[in-house]
Amino acid sequence: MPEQTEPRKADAVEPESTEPESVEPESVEPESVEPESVEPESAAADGTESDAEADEPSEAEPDSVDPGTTVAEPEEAALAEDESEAKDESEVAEATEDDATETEKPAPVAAEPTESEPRPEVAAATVEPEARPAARPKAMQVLTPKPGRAQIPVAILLGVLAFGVVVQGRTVSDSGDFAGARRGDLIQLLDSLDATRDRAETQLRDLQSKKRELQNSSTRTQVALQDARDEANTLAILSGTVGATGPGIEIRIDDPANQVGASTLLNVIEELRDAGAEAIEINNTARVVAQTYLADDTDGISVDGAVVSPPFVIDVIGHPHTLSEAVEFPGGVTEIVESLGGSVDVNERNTVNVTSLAVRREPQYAQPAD
Amino acid sequence: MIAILGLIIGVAAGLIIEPEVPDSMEPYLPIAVVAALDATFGALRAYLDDIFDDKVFVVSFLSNVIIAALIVYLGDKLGVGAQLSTGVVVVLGIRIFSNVAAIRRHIFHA
Repeated sequence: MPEQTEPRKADAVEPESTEPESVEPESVEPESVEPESVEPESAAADGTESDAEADEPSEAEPDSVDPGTTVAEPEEAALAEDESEAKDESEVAEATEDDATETEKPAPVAAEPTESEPRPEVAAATVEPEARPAARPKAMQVLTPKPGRAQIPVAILLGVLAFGVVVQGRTVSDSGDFAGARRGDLIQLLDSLDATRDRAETQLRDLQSKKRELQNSSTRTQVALQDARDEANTLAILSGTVGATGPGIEIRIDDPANQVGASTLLNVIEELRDAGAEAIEINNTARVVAQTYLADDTDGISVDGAVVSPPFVIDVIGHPHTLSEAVEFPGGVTEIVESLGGSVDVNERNTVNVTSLAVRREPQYAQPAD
Repeated sequence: MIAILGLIIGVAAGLIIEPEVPDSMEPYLPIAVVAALDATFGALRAYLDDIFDDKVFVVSFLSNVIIAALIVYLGDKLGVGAQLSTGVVVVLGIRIFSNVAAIRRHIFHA
């Protein structure tokens, strides 16, 4: 007996309760091969569930007195109805697994509870307490082991899915930031990059030309600086403000009779200048430059105020042979000095050092003219 | 349990093998994955509804994947591949959402 009533109740309850768990598949409909087809209403579960829940408690208490008998009469009609509908709806039910959007479709199913509302009220009340507790473990069953051959293909497909997800995720992350970007975004990005590149190129050109300019100017500056240095060196040697070194000659004039005076020495200097002397120094104390004056003095000869006395040693930088020729040519310095009772000795040297400095003179009256 | 095992094995295989997706397959894999996700959520919902059938799941899974890939392929041939991909993703996304909503109702009754 309980076996019979069980499916009836379940069947009758179904439209109202819409809880799929409340039914045992085998007991209800032997004709329907697939277990899904048993619960047509599950498709409409979403819509009706809340209604059912709302109705249940209010109706349950008064009617729960007699579950078995009251149900019996309407139940047969319901069963017939259900059977006919179950076939239609089994398709729907199957479809829901495949196609969730079809949940709207089983309108007749959803409507059914309103037709049969008076009929299953009682059953709903009685069965519900059984069905309800079952509902909660249901969700948990997903996670609990339930071995079965059916799970193997499912497991394989899920494995394939997981594999695909991982592979795709890896591919996307491998292919950089722009793999998922939309076309419009990419075009915009490209445009902005082009603009940036143009700007950068313009900037590059500007900077390059500026660099060239600066290089030119720095080259010019360096050349000018070099020229100025050379000029300064030349002038420094000419004006005797620095020491000088180079090839040249050393002239020694012995004058035991003290007959060699300023004019003779000036002759010697003029001859040396004529031969291209670049730096002249007398007795390592007096530097001879353009403004040097020579004057006879009681102790010897005053050169720019510095008194030099015989023997005179003159260091000259210039072409050694030319200089020595200038001193020794017939009728020249040597002969003049010898006629005065002195002697001249000329030595050509590879290195002559002129160390004394000329008296420093600042031009007091003369100004550079433009 | 076996199903979850399969899931884990799939993830592990993907991580270990690190396969290169061939260029010709590249547009279809994401769509296929979304389609498979849809089928999976549909199956989960059906399972909670107690109408799960492994045969239906296998068929729907494979057909979903194949049809999704086919649509994208066709779209590529017709020059509207990107748009069709978007369309497929939108449709599958809607279905996934509605399935997940049903699953949520089952689990949380809310």
